[in-house]
Amino acid sequence: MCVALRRGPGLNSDLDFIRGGAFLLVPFLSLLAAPGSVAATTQPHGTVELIAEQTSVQPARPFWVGLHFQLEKGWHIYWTNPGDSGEPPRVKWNLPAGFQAGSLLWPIPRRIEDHSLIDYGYPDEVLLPVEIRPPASLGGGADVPLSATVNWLVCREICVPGRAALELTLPIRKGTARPPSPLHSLFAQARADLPRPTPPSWKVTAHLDKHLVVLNIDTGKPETEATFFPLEPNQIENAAPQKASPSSRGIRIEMQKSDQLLKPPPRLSGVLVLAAGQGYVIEAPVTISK
Amino acid sequence: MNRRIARFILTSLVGFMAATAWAVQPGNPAPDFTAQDTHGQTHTLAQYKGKYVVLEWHNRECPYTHKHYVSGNMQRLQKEWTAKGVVWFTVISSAPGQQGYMTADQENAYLQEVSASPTAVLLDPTGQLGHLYGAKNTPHMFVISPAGVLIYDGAIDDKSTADADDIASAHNYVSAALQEAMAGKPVSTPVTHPYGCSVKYAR
Repeated sequence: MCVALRRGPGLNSDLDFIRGGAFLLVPFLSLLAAPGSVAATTQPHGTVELIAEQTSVQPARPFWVGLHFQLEKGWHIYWTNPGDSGEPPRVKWNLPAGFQAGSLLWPIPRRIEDHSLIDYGYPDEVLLPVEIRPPASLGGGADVPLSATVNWLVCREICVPGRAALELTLPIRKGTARPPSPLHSLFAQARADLPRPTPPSWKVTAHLDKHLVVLNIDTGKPETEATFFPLEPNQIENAAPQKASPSSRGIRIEMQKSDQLLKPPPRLSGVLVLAAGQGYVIEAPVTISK
Repeated sequence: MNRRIARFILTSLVGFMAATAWAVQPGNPAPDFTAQDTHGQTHTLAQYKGKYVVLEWHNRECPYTHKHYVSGNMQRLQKEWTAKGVVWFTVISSAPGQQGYMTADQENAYLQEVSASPTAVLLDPTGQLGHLYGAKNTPHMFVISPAGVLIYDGAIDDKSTADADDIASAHNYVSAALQEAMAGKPVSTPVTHPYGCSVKYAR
């Protein structure tokens, strides 16, 4: 199985640094934080913070911010396809003129048991990164406020919706130096946990019959374990066990077809996680037999 | 043989066949069931042949269910469609000790408190009915035609949030399915991805 967010020693020490430093914890309020610091909100069952990887902004140089969820033990939030219940976090940005935000990016999720159903999500802690693209020219010296309204659902046995307005302000620095914030390694880890494109040498195909969705992954070498996370709902029975059969050239996964799949999709999209915990984006053409 | 026993065996067989022979999927016969309501009355699906039947999976403490009750949306739908002859069953599959589990008395008091008027609330603490239909969420909605065919399986509407402000602009799939079917048209969206909390089945 995969791990959504591996904690390295660097990550822990960074968190200690923030907690010991200018960590702001203001329930249910958005706030203007000091340059380089974070805006956070504590809500039932966890904290969400808007954080940045670097301490300043340069014209035309994209940088990373992210929503950092730290949840009480046993609580989880959701992947982009939440599985059998729940909903993914959503964000609406309010950025200065000329700034653009990319989509929320989704590190590899986990299968989470929920009353005989299976959800796809993140227990305990996750950073969802977003790329921000500043305009080519920035006015003289003013700080850049980045505002986000975030909605999410946090669950453990029961579910509680959360909503927060978060704001983070970064100074403009026109030089080339761009010192990373102490949160840099947290972002590096989140990026490492994003699924990557499949290597060009791989051959991935999907096959549908009356009851099964079968994914064949030819990596050219033996694979021992694999889990598939479908991007679209209603394709596989999430709660049915996935049967992975290793071969000398890869692995094959048999999944139970969803009763709600009325028309076969032309492609099967999702994320494949192999034994080492690395995720890959899967876009497999689908063949069908009755 | 005693006629009641014979009928019991027959209905069990039919129920069993419906559950195994066809996937619970729009276009297929909806599996028959037997369940008790909060007034101790027994209902089977078969007895409502000739009528449209709506199944609404319910958990009053789930924020997504709450969204549709605090806004009065679910009550409006129940009133509107039962007035048009639709049989509307609210189903509670929360196991004892789990969120949303209700005794008959608690549920009857709740119905009064929120002015809800389904045809009946079916109590399913074993989760048998829920598992038979593959109900995953609260609310998870099913619509069954007068011929006993499942014609809709999925979400209540297209705004998968817990925010009551989203209801006004939402497209309601249940009403759309009933309107189309009653007009003699095929249901244009027979399956959607249901949204909400997990049904709190026994673990």
